Amino acid sequence: MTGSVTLSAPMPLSSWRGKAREAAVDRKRALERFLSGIERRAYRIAQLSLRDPDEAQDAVQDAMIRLARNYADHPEEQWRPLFYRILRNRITDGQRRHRVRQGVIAWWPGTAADDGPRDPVESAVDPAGTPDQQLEGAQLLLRIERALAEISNRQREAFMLRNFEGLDVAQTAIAMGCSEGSVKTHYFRAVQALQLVLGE
Amino acid sequence: MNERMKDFERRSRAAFDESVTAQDAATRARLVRARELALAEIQRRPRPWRSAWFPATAAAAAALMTLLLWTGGESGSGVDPAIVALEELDIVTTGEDLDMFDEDFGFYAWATGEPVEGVG
Repeated sequence: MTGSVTLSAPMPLSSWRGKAREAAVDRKRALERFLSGIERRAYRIAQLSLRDPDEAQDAVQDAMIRLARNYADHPEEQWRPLFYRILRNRITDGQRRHRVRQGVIAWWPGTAADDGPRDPVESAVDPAGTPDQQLEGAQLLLRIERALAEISNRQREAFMLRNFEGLDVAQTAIAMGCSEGSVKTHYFRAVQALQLVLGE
Repeated sequence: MNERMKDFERRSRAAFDESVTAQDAATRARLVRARELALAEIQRRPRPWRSAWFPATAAAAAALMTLLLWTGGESGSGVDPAIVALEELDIVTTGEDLDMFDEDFGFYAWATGEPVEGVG
């Protein structure tokens, strides 16, 4: 039996470099598409979690940069859960910093915390929301936002990632760093708790 | 999951989508800027070891290593060891050279400063 082996000519270095450059450009375009498709929803989720637009903006920007720096070479289908994993960690850091700040302010003498109780009427949250929000018809979200503050962090994460962002159970598990079973449990309890808080 | 829960999920998702659509221009502009910064990061990040140049670099390193191992087995002096061995054998077998040491013994003793009986 005779066989023949065909050896193709080696690819010239310039051609190889050209292909590598094309691949890098394609990857950058793909990442741009991914980020532009996700940024506004991610910002809204960060805003709902941190309750501060500037901190939310910083959190999203950090998550974008870290994804580009560390995971741009990963397969595209991994980007979404990885991005939300990074964002979640960043949000957790932000919440921790916020708690420390609040603790220091409460302890430090002569700060607003010692100024006596606030006027309950002045500090009360308007249940109707701002006029813009009324115009946008975001009443339900406003109520949900307040209700989200009442439930545990894990339940809130599961609800926002599954319901708002539409990640599946496996992707949510990667983003939250837990098992798929935990995701299902947290999500189910979150929906129940939110319905209870909202009187639905 | 019952219908009430499904309805709640659907409405909350719709409310969220609506709030995303309603984001103001300033927020969107800041997000675009953040995206640009992230994309610029791709060009700045250090190249991983498995970069496009890695195969060529590895091949060159392997070739260099082979060359060093090949030449490293030979004598570093550049003189053929067979020639050196013949010269040493010559010294031992030639009677003249050993006689020279006998004749000039006094000279070598003087040179090292040692007193030698019967000399001088």
